[in-house]
Amino acid sequence: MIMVEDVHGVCVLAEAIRRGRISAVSLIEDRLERVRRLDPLLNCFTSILEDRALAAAAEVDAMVAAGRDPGPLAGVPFGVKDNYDVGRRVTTAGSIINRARPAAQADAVIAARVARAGAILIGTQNMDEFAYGFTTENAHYGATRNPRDRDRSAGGSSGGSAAAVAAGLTEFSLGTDTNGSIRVPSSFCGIFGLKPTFGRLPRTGTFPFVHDLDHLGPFARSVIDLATVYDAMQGFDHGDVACAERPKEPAAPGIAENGEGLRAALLSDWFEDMADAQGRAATAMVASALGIRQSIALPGTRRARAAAFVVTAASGGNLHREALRTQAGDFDPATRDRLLAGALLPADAVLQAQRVRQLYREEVLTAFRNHDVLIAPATPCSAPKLGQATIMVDGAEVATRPNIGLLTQPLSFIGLPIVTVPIHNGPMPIGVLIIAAPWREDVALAVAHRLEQAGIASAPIAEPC
Amino acid sequence: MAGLKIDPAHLPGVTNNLRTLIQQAEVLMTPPIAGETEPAATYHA
Repeated sequence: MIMVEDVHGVCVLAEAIRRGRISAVSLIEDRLERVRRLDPLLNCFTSILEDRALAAAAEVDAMVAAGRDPGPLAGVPFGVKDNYDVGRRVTTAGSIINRARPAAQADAVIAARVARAGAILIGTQNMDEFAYGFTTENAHYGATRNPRDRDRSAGGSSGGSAAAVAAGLTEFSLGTDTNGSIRVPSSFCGIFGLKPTFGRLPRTGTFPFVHDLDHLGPFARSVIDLATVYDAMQGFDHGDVACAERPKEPAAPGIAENGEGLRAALLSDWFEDMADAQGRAATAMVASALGIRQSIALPGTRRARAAAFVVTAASGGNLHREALRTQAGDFDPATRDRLLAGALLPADAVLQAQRVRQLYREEVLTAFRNHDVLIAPATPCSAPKLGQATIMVDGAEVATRPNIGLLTQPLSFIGLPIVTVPIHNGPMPIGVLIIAAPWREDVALAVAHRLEQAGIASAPIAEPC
Repeated sequence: MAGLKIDPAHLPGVTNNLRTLIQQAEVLMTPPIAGETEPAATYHA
């Protein structure tokens, strides 16, 4: 046997457990102890599922002892954002309003899939209320702190999930991304994150925010771990009308080969202007490592970002209309005011936004005729301080919360698959987006893997102090 | 509006956010989009 506290990583741990070199129970006990020690400093978790996790770990150990294979994620501890259903638990989605809802009957479909692959759910994780935010400063459940600097934001809205992975509390986490809620916390916490193509993964059993923008995806500290978890999540499900009927297309098996010989370009204009010097430098490091010499502009990006902003507010306002009418005082005030404003938007603006979306989709798909992958900074800056009201963008001081998604929003608006890779080129890390054509998660992951192998991107465990 | 009443205490915050949204909506309107451009299909990547 080896010491579980010294072993990290999804694939490494799963292999050790499958070979009987580590017991799943000892691993879960170790990580639960780490959660008990560090989470009071970070506030990543909204609940710890200790009994359930230990029981599942004992089942994994029993399978190994019986000579059966528990699966590619055998015994690996993971967490889910608080908007994923967990059986017999109320899905609060970072709110107090949802506490009145009935408990979930079962786990969210993709959480159940990774559990069937052997992974062990240890808890639910903090988020912005109803996923409407980029900083995980939750009025009801407190702020999640960045494990690389506890005075700073972990990003959001999947901040608890990202911070837990960065701090080594879980080996991977499952989050959601509507406008950047996987990509922003990946950037701020310095870890890898995948937002797959819209429609790739079923959202069955998760609490919605914007039906035609919501994506699910994983966080991890290595690209092979990210791809392995993503592969376990894939597959059609009837419970989500947006889920595409596509076969599973595993990304992990060819990850070492698929990143070669690709046509790549940097995104210029908006994607340069909205990033600070650190973000531009990180993107240049990635471009250099990939041998990129070409930049392209996407002139429709400013309008696409505005359209995503409008659709999000209007859809969110509509989704929460009844609670806004009867329980307005129970919302986080910042969320409430944004949702109420969204509910008041004229239909003209929303329809125009959907027409902009169509035009932008055509523009970007045209760019993918000549390129396999596009590169851009993930966030306008690295993690701001908690409570920081403004950031500098393109020489102007702007409000922090509505502007952190400037670079992520236009791209999720048209559903592209994107891997965020962490670059440690300053006091805090910052992310770079690896953007592929629809359904080519394998390409984005292979490029990310190549950057990791070259030592450009990495996600070491943070030891919060 | 359609049964949605706003507490007067919430009006300043709602007004600020609505102002931001209208600014973004204005970005959508210029230059004009050709009439034959259909709104995007909702569930399509």
